[in-house]
Order: sequence, then C-alpha cells, then structure tokens
Amino acid sequence: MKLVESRVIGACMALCLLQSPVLAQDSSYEIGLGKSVNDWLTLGGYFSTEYEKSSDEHLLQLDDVAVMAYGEFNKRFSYLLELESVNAYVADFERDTRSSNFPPTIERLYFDYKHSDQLSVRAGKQITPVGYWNQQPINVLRETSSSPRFSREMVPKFLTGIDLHGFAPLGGDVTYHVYLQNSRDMDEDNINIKPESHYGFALAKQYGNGWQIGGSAGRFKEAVGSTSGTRTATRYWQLNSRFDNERYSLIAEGIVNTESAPGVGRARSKAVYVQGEYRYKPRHSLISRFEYFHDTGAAVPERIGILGYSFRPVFPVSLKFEYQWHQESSNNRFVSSFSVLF
Amino acid sequence: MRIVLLLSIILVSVAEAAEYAVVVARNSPIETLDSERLRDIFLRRRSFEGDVPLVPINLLGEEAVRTRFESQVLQMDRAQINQYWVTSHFQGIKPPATQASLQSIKTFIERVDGAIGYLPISMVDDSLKVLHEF
Amino acid sequence: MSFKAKTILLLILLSLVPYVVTMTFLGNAYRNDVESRLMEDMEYQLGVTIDRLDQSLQSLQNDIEFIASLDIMNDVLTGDLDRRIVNLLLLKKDDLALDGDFDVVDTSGQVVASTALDSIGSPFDGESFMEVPLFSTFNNDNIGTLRVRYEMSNLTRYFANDDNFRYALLVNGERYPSQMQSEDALSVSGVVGMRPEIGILFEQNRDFAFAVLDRFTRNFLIALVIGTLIISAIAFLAASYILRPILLLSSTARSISKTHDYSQRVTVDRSDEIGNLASAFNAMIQGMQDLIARLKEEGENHLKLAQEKNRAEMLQTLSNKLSKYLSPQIYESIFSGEKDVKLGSSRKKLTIFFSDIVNFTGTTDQMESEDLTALLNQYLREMTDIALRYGATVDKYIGDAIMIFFGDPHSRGVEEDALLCVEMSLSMQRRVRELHREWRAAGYTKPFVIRVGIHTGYCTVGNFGTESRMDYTIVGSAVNLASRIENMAEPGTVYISEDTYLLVREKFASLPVGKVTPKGISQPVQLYKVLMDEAVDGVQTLSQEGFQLQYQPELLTAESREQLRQVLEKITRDSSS
Repeated sequence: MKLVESRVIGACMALCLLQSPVLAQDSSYEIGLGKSVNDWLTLGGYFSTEYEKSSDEHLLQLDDVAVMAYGEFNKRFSYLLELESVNAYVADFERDTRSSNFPPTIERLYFDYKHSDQLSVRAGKQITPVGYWNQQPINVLRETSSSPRFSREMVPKFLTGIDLHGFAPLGGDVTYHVYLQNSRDMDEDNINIKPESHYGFALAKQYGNGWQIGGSAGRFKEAVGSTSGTRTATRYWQLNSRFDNERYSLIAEGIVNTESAPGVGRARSKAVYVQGEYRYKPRHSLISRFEYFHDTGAAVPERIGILGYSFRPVFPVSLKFEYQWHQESSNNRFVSSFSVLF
Repeated sequence: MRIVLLLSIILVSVAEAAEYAVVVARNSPIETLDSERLRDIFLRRRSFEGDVPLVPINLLGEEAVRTRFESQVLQMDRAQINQYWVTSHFQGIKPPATQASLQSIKTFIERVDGAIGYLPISMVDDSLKVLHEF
Repeated sequence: MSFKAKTILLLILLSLVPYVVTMTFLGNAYRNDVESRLMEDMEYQLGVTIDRLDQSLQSLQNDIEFIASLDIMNDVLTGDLDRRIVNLLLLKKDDLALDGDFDVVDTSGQVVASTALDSIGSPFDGESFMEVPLFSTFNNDNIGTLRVRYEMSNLTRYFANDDNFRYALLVNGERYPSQMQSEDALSVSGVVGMRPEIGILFEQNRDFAFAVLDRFTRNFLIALVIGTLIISAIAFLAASYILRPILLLSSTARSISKTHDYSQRVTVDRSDEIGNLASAFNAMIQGMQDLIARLKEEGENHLKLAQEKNRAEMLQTLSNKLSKYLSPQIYESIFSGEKDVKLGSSRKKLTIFFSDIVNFTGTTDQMESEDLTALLNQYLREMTDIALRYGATVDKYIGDAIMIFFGDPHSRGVEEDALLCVEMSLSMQRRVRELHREWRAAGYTKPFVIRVGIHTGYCTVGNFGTESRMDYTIVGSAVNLASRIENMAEPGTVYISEDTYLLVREKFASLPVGKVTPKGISQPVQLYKVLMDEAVDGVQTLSQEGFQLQYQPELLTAESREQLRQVLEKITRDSSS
C-alpha cells in the first residue's frame, strides 16, 4: 500500500510539474527529447497503445504510460526516475472485459556517479545492460510492436543493484559493464523475472563502419514458487551484433540459458533472433524478424516469423503494424501499435 | 558516366578546403583529439579529459556549420542524430548545450573550462586552439 | 420639601437612573463594540492585503529563483551575446507586468542582461530589491546574480484606495503613495512577512467609520430626552395618584386630633394597599371610639371590684387562720361550699385510727416543758403531715394521742380507705423510728415508741354541738373499739381489727394476736398485728397462705436451728404425703 501511495504521489508530482505554466515559458521543446527545465530536471515520458488480434485473442490496450525525470546535480552526479503504469487500460474483446490499472510501478530509479570515462557507477533500479533489445525496451524505440521471446524470458530485464561501466582501458571502442544484484527487486510488479541475486558482465565493441558486437554472461537465482524455498540458478551466455546505416539495420542476438535447480537437474534453453529493417523512404520502414526459441522441456523448438511495417512521422512517434507466423498456426496474429515518446 | 559522376563528387569533396575547425580554449587540457573521440564527446559517450569535465557546445538551429559538422565529424544525418538523442533521452542523457551565435560560441569556449565547439576557421584567433579541421 | 415633591423626585430618580444608566451603558458598549469591530475588520482586511503582497513577493521570489536555475543562465558566461537571457527576462517582465527591471549582473558588477536595455554593458547602479545568485551548470561556479529592481507601485497596485479607505506602504519611513496621513483616521499597520522592512498602513476615514455610530448616538440622545420627559410625567401622575388618599388620611387624622371627634371617617375607594390603609385607619378610629367607651365603663366596674377584693382578702386571712384548727378536708369542704357548716350527721363506714405514745407520761415527767412542747409539736406535725398526705381526716389530738379517720368527707371506697389507713400507720411507725434516732442524736435518750389501733366500722359523722360551738367528729361504738384496740397494741406495732384485716389482708401480712371483747358486743373481736415490711430489730418474717414464720437469725442457736429444721421437714413431709 505504502509503495503504491508513494508511486501515485510521485507520478502526480511529475505530471503537475509538466503542466506548470512556468515551464511553458521556456521556449525550446522538441518532441522525443523531453522538457528540460534546467540541468537538474528534465521531464519526459512515453505511452503506447497496442491492438492485437489472433484466433483466440483480440485486445486493445494502453499498455504503457510512463513519466520520467532525470537530471544532473553536477557533471559527475546524476539521477533518473521512471514511473510506469503497465496495462493502464485493457479492452479484451474476446472475453469482453475491460480493466484498468493506474497505480504506477517504479520502473527505474538510479543514481550515476561518473568517475571518469573509464569508470562510472550506477546504483539503483536500472535496466540490465545486456544486449540491444533489452536496453531499448519501450515500444516507441523498437522496430516492431512485439518483442522477441529472447528479450522476454531469458534474462531479468531489471537490475536492482550496482553496475560499474565505462570504456574498457584496452583501447578501441570497447565498453564494459559489471553488474551485481544481491537483493530483491525494488518494485517487483511488472518485471519478467524476480531474481534474488544476479551478477554478470557485458562487453561491447563499436566499429567505425556501423558495426557493433557485444556479449554478456551472468548468473541469477530466483525462488521458484513463493513458499517452497526452492531456488533455481540460471547461467546465461549471450551474444549480439548489429549493423546500422542510413538505410538498413540488422540486429542479431542469441542466448543460451542453463537453469539448474536442486533435485531437478539442468534445463537448457536457447533463443535467437535476427531482424532486419529497411527504411525504404524517410519515415517508412519494413521490418522482418525471425525468432528461434528452444527449451529442453518443450518437444519442438518454436520458430516465429514476423513481417512488419513502421511509420514514424518523427522518430519519437511510431505507428507499427506486423503479422506473426508461428509454428503453431493458431498463434498467428496481427499486432499494431501507436506509441509516443515525449 | 556513373563512374565519372562519382569521381567528380569525390574530387569536389577533396577539393573542398577545410572551412571549419573544432576548437578549445588556449588553456584547455585537451591537446589532440582523434575523430572517434571527438564524435564520442559530442554524442556524450565520453565526458572527461583527465579530471576536467568536457562541455561540448552546439550551434543552435541548422546552420551550415552544424550540418557539416554532423555529417563530417559525427558521420550521421539529421534523422540518425535525432534518433540517437531520442534514444538517449530514454537513457537520461541530454544533447549538448547550445549557443545561438558563433560569436557566443567563441566567447563560451573562451570562458568555460573544458568547453569544446566548432567555428569557421576565420573566427579562430589566439585565444583558441584548433584540434580538428573539417 | 413636601412629601409629594419628595415622592415625585424619588419616583423620577428611581425610574430615570436605571434608564439613563442602562441607555448610557448600552450606548457605550455599542460604541466600544463598533470601534473594536471596525478595528478587527481593518486588521482582517489588512491581513488579507498583506497576504496578497506576501504571495506576490513570494511568487516573484520563486520566479526569479526558477529563472536563475534555468540552463539559459549559462549565457552569462558568453555575456549573453545571443540575448537569450534578455529575451527571457523581457518575457517574464511582461508576464508579471512588473514595474521595474530584471538585471543579470556578472561577478564583476557589469550588467550582462537586463530588461532595461540601456543599462546592458554598464555597471549595475540600481537598487536591488531581490536577488539570487547564478551558478554555472558546467562547473558550479558563481557567475553572477539575477537582480530585481522593484518599484513600490508593484505592491501599491494591490491597494484599492478610495476616499474612505487608504492603504499605504511604509518603506524606510517613507510613505507610498506619499499623500499625508489624515489626522482624523483610524489606522492599523503591519509588515510584509517576506520583507519586514516594508510596512503597510491601512487607514479609514474616521467620519466615515463612525457615521453609523454618530447617527446612532444622536438618536440615542433624542430617545433619552423624550424618555426622560415621559418618565417625569408618569412619575408626577403616579405620585399624585398614590398620594391623594394618603393626604386625605393625614388631613382626617389632623382633624380628629384637633376635634377629638372620632366619628370622622376617610372615604377611599381602592382595593390596593392604600385602600387597605384607609380601611385600617377607619377601623382604628372605630376601635379607638369603642375603646374610649369601654374604658369609661370599666373605670366604674373597677371601683366596685376593688371593694369586693378587700372583703375577699379578709376572708382569705380568716380562712387561713381557721385552717390551722380544722382538718383541711373539713376546711376545704367548708370553704368550697361543698358542705355548708351546719349541724347534722350521716352514717358511714369509716376506718378509724388511734395512736398514742407508749408510756408518754412517764417519759415526759423527766423533760423540760419547752423541750416537751417542741418534741410533741414536732411529733404531731410530722404525723399530721403523713396523715394529710394519705388523705386522712385528722379528727383531734388528745394530748399525745391522735384520732384520725378515713371515709369522710372524701371516701375512696371502704377498702381503699382501710388500705390507706394501714399504710399510713406503717409510715408513721417508720417515721417515728427515724424521729427516735434523730432525737437520740440530739440527746433525747428515752425510748419513744407509739402504738396504733385500727378498726373499720359504721360511725355517725357530722357536726356535733350547738349552733355557736360545733365540732366535726365521729361517734359510735366503732370509735370506742378502735381506741380499745390501740390500748391493746404492743408498743411499736399496728393492731387492726378483723373487720379491717379482712379488707387489707391481700396487701398486708398480719399475725392474729388475740381477741378482745368490747363493751356492748357479745362476741370477741379477733385482733391482728400488721407485719412491717422490713425486719424489726433483726426479726425476719415469712408469711404465706397457711403459715407465718418469724425468726431472728443472729439469735438462732444450733439447737433451735435443728428444731426448726425438724419442724419444717415434718411439715413439708406431711403435706407432700
């Protein structure tokens, strides 16, 4: 209850600030870049609506509404806060239900200390610095409305802990992350995995010609069931690479998970996706994605093919349509979304 | 025909003399700067030179100098740059500060420790150090 | 001053004083109330105004703090070459409709940006009303200050002044707007919380403030005068009405005292207290008239009564003297007129008592005559007292002998008469024993014992003798028998005849002691000795139906004890078998 209240109050305060007339006096606002009040306060937010239709699902939802505030106290210290209401409104036409969920959750709340370009520390609840997809998790920044299973089920999206990061002192454009969580999540609502501990590292290298590669490895423990006390430990190894130029983007990510639980043994799962985007005209692009997902527990690996179209009148406003072909054809679906970052 | 055209474009670009310079104050700790590092500074991936925080400064608007800086130095077009900063906004990173005129950029660089900006070479005088020309 | 004038004055005072006091008090209270209300109102209005000024200053403070925090202020570093700060400040000034200017002054004191465009580039020389420091967001250095030059008209525009209400600012003793403070005004003042050096004065024209009150006061005075006149008139009429009968009474009273004509009356036709007074006055005069008549009558009667009283007193003296020689009953009987003193007799059953002192002549021979007289007189007096206490009729003293009877002139019944007689005899015996002890203590050592004889029988009782010398006494054989029994009685005892015995045996234990044959009576009369309650010289007496036992414990020997035991044993054994 207390948590919910503090969230509501925080969200209200941020909204009030956004509407404050003094802010409107300062001229420059550009959509997608937030409203910078001053150095220590920039306000922003995003929302996305999604329409989904398959043989057994038919939804229209306001699936994300979030506000964020961030700023620098000085050149070394900064912070970020993001509050999000997930599934703020869902109209399920298949089941003919409507539901709403306003109280927001703390999506991110962290402080950064930049010691140097080689070493920064981020403490608090943050996005796990693994891969590409995971670090741009919101609809408006994605190429498709849907996210691959890779990003949904393999690694905890969020980290409540410490991340040391910076340019690796090796030379070249190599960045590193070393991250550690040794507690429960700050706000366990609306997160994909609820680890009790999590640690790992990530490396990324950028080449000047538009190529990037990266990889990460880590281990997390989560309680299975709320009371049994049984914990599973999962190791993961992940690789990613992308290429960007004015016309094309190509992204590939893959991960192998080994989950072990006492008395159960090991289970291994693999997830890979490859996605290409073709910006055939400014503001318009076509996207295709292929996903592969295999869990040792499941008889057949899952394969998904996606074809999508995206229209961005400006980059932070996105209208997307896609069709998914699943191994199990009953899961085929049409998804479209409209999302804005402001 | 095509090749000729392509060649001529290359020739033109080569022939085009450098008109602009990336400059810092005369007493700035930065002595040299490769283009990759320059890019990182203006994309705010890097923020320090030693212990001195760096303050990249952009010219407001879409003046020729800025467009040229972006395409030559950052090697990105407007859409990419916009995409980059929108994405950064989500990460809690703001674009560099701006000044509305070249004169004020010059003054800014002279007066603010760690400031780094770009000016037409014609405006460069003794108070500034040129690190890069484009 | 006449009573009437006094009354009128008093009435006027009594009604006017509370009226005037109340009216004055109320008027005063109202005045004070109005004044304090006015002041309260003004304080309140002043408070509201001060709050507004405070808010306005606070919001100004917030605004400039906010402006100072904006990134654009970094342009101080470039000397605001692009005029971005100036433009922002101009916008802000316009927005606030500020009378005054915003200035941004760098650390050297130069105006870098200002809404007063002329002053840009020159040293700041205005008066800074409010200022906040500016910091570079790049290195947190102080890069200057944002100052506000503030005209007091910014604050005075909140003042809604008119002819009667005026606000003014007091800044460092100066007044804005600088019109003179009117002499005749109510004023309250306060200071702005944000800027204590700014005082605010709120004045209200006194004439205006008190207009209502003045009107009220005038009406109040008129009401007071009219009220006073009405009350005086009413008081005069009331006094006349109340006093008329009183004056009438007083004139009537004066006339009566002058003329002594008590037949005069007052005519007042009222049912109130005054009416009552008049009736009471009339009744009093009537009473006095009656009283005077009665006094006259009683004076005459009184003279008669005095004469009669003289005779009565003579009679009283006479009867007192007589009483010494007559039995009180006889005396009483005579004086109460119950029985007229006349010769005549009746036959009644009386209980007759005789007593004498045993061996009196032998005793008296050895005594001085005076002692003897005193002794005898005391004895007779004591005995007579006892007799009278028991309601006896003392018939006569015959030397040392006393003759007493019960049953005439009052009888309580034959039996009761006998009982009283026996009881009286026992009292006398006891008293004689006491007297004996007293006399012995006084030196009279001779034995002094009396004996008593009692008989109950029919006697002739009455006044015997001649018309000139009568004696109330009893005659008959019963008298002789009683005397005879007395002669036979042992010293110190009471003997009673059988006739008496039969009447008293229930109450008094008696021992048969022998018989006597009186003259003229054929049969002997059985005599009884009445046993005294208490032991006589240590003799214990026990008497029940069928036995009487007398014994003297200290004299009992072992032999006699044994004998007594055997007798009692025998008697009880016989009766039980």
